[in-house]
Amino acid sequence: MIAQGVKGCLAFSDSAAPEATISAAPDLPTVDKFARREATIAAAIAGSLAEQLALQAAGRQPWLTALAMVSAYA
Amino acid sequence: MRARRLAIAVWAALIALLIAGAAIAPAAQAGGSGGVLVVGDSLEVLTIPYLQRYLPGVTLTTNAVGGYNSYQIYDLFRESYDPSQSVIVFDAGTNDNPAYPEILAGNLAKVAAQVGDRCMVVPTIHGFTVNGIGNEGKNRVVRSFAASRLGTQVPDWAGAVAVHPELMQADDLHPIRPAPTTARG
Repeated sequence: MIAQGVKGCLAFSDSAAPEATISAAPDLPTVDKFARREATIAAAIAGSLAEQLALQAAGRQPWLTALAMVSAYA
Repeated sequence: MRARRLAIAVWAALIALLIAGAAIAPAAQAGGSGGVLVVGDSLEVLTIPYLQRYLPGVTLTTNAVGGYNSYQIYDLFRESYDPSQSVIVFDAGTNDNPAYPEILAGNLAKVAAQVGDRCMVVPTIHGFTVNGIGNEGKNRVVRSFAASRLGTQVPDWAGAVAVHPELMQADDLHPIRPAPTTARG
């Protein structure tokens, strides 16, 4: 009886896993979170590239370098 | 310039790996990895050899002590529980005072709180009648617990004993060996 219960549990766990995957798929908040994170990373990369361009344009002036570093984290 | 771009790319890749790791790790731990923990009293002591026979290939961790009540069996659970276990057999309540089914309810709730969404096996109880109070209250607790928790398995040991009282030992608590014990396993 108890072994059957254990088998029932193991079968339930196996069947529950795909259900969790399906129910997790339309979890938009999680997707949004990833999207926001991706956007943040992309923005950071773009900011760094812009920083490099700005540094080139400014002729490597130290005070502009300081501004650029702050802007990358703000 | 090229070195800085490379550093940015590496940094972005590391962040992506961290995010992916954080997303995957809890899911992998949620249901354990297939192991089974069995805790209980003397009935489970009698049953465990048959579980090992009937569940070949399943990693069983067993911890059962004769005469233990559900408080003590909860302590056995705490000693032996590992998140890698997927199924928890909590075979308790037979030695609890039937006047206080809330004791079993409390210990079941504590186990459930610790194991998360792992599946549990909780047999119904055939125990002594004390001062005219039988095991109906404890069995209501078991059924109510199972109803509140998706997937919980309830082997009906009390029902089996009611149908086959002749298969019990003279103490009317333990099954004679081997047939009914085999059936319980």
